[in-house]
Amino acid sequence: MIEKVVKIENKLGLHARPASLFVKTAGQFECDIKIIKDDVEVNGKSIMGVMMLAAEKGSEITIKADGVDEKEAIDSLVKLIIVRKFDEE
Amino acid sequence: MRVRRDNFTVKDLVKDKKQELKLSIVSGEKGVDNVIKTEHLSCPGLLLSGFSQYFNANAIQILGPQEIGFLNRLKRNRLKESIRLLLGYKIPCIIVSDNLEIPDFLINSCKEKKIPLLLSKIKQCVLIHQILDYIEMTTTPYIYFHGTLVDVYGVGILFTGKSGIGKSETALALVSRGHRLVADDVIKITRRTSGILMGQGKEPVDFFHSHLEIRGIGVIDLSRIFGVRATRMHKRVEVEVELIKWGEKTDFDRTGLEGKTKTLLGVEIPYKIIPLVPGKNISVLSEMVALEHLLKLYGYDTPRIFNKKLLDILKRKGEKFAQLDKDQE
Repeated sequence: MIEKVVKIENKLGLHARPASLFVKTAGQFECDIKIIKDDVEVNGKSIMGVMMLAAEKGSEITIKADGVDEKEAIDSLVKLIIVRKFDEE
Repeated sequence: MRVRRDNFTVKDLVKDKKQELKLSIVSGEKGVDNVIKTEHLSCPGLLLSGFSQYFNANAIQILGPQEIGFLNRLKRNRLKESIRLLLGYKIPCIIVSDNLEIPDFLINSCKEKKIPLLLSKIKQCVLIHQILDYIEMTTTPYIYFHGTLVDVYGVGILFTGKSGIGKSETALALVSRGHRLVADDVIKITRRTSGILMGQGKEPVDFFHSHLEIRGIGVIDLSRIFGVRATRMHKRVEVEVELIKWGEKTDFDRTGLEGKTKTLLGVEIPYKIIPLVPGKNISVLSEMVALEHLLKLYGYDTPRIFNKKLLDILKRKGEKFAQLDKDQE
């Protein structure tokens, strides 16, 4: 299992569009993916769960991946959030 | 899954219950961040009289007519001694009930010791019940669970299974048949002291609880589409139904006699596994799970009764054949 803490940096936070990008990316991997924010843990492959986190700009989320391709999964998700900033900027 | 438990402070109590308990802070405001570490309450009458064994210093201290009456009858020196004894412990706060007049020495000492001293206009016994209720609601252990909770004929069914298996679609089918959605995707499950599991959606509950995501359609708001009857805010979790792909598992409970259970937060609930196949109507099956659960609650356990009758028939048949054996014609 790998865990990684990342900061949400795009202006509007994790709203519908970035959340959908997140679950689409997460859905490409076999491993279980969870996101934790403020003690709430949700399934990283479920759009409602990710949106319900209501992660605003500047908030920190922990991504947890567990399974055969956990490393690749974490890498792509972190890249999506930090490098690509959900292609919003 | 991590079991969580929220801490609460005197400040939270005052904020949440000020109106209901008719509370006001008399002195010791500086201590409002004191954490209340136990779900018990204490009426420290015996401590004030000098008996300090078994005293629960972590609890909120309630002073009612007896305790205050007792203090008022003490001589000045003894009164100071009693109050010093009580305030010598690290108690979270003191609440005086019945709008009683508080001895000056207690007010001043609480200020000095930074122990919040609250006054309530409510009767002591009502106050105790209300605070115990409040503590239970705020400090019960809880978990966040991935699943969908639906009220089916009054039975709270928690659907679980992998992402994309069809939990939300099952909920939608059930709601269109007249049942009610409690929460989808993120379920907060709390355990009440009475051993009951309660489920609700993610906060803010009133916003999230009526929304579902259906693959290919998107996010839908059930209370907008079906009206107020389609959803509810919280519901007791009574049965877990896990949806799995056909072929993932072969050893199903074919008779219903096994009665599998699952333990959540230390509470055992019935647990069913239903395989999904095209053409299988999961909403009808879910209704059956709920109705069977109700029948069982009312004392009628179909598989067991069926088997009992079957055994009777087998026994009688054996007798009949024995008779036939003796028949020589």
